[in-house]
Amino acid sequence: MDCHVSSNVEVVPGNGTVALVGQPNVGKSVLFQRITGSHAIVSNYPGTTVEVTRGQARLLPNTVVLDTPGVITFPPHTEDERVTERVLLQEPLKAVLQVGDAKNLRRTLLLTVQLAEMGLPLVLSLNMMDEANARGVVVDHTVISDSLSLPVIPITAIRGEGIEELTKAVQSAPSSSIHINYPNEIEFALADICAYLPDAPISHRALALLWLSGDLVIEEWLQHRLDSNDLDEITARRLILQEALGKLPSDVIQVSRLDFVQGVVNAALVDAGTGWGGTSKTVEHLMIHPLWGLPILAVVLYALYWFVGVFGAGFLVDLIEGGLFNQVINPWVITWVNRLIPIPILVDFLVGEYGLWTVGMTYALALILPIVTTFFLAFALLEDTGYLPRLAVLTNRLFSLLGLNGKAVLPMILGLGCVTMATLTTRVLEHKRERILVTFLLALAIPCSAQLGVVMGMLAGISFGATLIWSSVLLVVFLVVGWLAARVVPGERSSLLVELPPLRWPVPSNLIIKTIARLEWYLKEVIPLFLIGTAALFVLDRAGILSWITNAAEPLVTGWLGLPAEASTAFLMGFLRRDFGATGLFVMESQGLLSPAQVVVAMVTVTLFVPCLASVLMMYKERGWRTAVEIVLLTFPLAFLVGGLLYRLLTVVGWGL
Amino acid sequence: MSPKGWRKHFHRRRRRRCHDALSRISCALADVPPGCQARIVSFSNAIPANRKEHLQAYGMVPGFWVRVIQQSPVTVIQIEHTELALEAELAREVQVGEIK
Repeated sequence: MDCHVSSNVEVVPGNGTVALVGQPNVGKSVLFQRITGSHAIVSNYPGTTVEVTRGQARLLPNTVVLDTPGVITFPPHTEDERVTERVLLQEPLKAVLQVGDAKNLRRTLLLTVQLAEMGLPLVLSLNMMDEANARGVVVDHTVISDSLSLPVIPITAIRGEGIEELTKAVQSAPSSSIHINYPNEIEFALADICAYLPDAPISHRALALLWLSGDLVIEEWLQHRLDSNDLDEITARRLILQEALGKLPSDVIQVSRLDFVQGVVNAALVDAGTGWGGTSKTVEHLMIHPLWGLPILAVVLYALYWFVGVFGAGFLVDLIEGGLFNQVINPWVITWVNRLIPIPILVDFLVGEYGLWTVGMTYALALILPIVTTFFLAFALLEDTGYLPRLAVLTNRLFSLLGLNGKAVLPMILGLGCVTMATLTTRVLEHKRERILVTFLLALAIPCSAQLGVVMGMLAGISFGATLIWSSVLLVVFLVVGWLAARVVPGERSSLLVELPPLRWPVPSNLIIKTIARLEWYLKEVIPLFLIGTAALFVLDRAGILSWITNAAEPLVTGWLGLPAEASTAFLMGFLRRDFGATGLFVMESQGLLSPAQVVVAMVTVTLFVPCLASVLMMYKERGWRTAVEIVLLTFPLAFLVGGLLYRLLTVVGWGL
Repeated sequence: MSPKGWRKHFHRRRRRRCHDALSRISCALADVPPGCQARIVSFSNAIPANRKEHLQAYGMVPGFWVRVIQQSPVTVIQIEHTELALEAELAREVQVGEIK
């Protein structure tokens, strides 16, 4: 295959898959929704679309559209970017539709030339024309079209403008053919390497360029298709090139591309637009202001607390659990189960003390679902307005103490909703070390909304001081253990680099679609494990193991923590269902069995204690069984250690005895 | 002072700040006063390769101008119509030439 010609892919008419590719925050997902009219996660915070979303194109017959994670440039550096590259390498694509930000032409075109060199049929859509117009940016897209020999369509996806023209262009897109001249040393190396490359969906020239840039996904892909001799040859050739250049080939390649792109930009950019002011700009800057950022954050956090805690956990739960389930549904279910099923043990299994329906399902639907729904809705709001990257900026210094950077705030906040989902979201962090540290902190010190609802209810019932003690202890543990862990886990800290997208009004339909998508995931992944946990408790109770554990753990629970022996069952329950642990203690407290100090100690221990079954399984899936076991083995003694110390501290001080 | 007067006063103060910064011999992005524009000269060797690639992909390339919006709590710059936030640690590794 000739390495000096980029286009070698035939256009497949009719059926096929079209991939949406683009940098983060350009509106890919909005366009996806417009084209397919189907559900997809819409977000402008990079990394949230971790899975590739597929949909049937409404206006194109027999065409599937693929929404890929955002990629800034190739070679890929994050898991998301790697997924996008794999799509280009492995999916049989009819065309690639790049979505670009019209007001940021240079960085858009930098990606365009990389995609064009791959030789697939390519269409460039310049999105967010409304924002470009508002800033006075004027682009002559015909110039770009001529220079790069590909269709360029200005659109505003959010208003549906330009979509029809875009669809037509995608249907008849020709293979892209551009040729950028790289310095001679690189051209020679390209020719040499191309001779070894196997057939591929993308052009040999692009493959070779990525190989020279040190692309690990390409390396993996080639390792499966080349024998070791050929692999050694091209590795050696790359080394020779690097020595000849005196610097990294990827550097030189990127500079050549930048030169080329700048030429196109100079010709196509009629007006670069002015720096714009306005209220939204002022608000954006206040949000990350060293002084004003914090009160704004406090307001946001309070609003979050009010919406999820007061409205969700209070009003909605009372309505659904207290009203609907306790008064209407459950009595009905209990009556009918008793009537239809003659076997007592089965009746107990379904509607008894640890009944699958009365306890398992009721809690899942009536207690947890409303809380989690309000949380996901609030989180979607934070995402879509563009506040989250600003939150990363504000919290960056704090996280740098823990060997992380501000980006870690995303899984941490999500963990307040569901630790299991947050553990999955650690994928947005760039390095393995960060993912391990955040997973550990999530398991240890972040209470999920299921637990938060009950814990805060209990503590608020005692006094505000109790809540203060609980939250301060958690914060201290979070910081101290996080700081220690950062020293133990090997690796370097990566410094913060994040884009701050313009503050935008969230589109209500997007918020709802995102929340529903997350709820679907939650219902499928987490709730079944809740039910399994409930069933396991039933079995343990029946087999007498529950009481055995109570007795065995007595010295630890009574002697060290200063709690009554029954509390140990609560801890075990807390492992199977995080909210159970707290509710078990709630019951004891309402029976007057616990003093305020004991309640606080119990709450602290339960929160620090191992996270629920669902998140342990997620830890195993994401990080492997060894890390998962290590984390569990660490959090267990830590929880009891802190609980016991707190008990002694409160005794000495004389609080709440 | 009238609103126009305040604006003129502010611009004059800003130009003086930028001019003072220019007189320093080696200037990093972290040293550029907020409100000024700076021309990128080079990246130091201490910068990790993937960070450098990302910054260049956004358009922070030797020879081009960026506007510094603030330096605390992190460095925030504007390239084209994109705002980027980066830690001072990174901003120190980017050398700039002219400032205006």
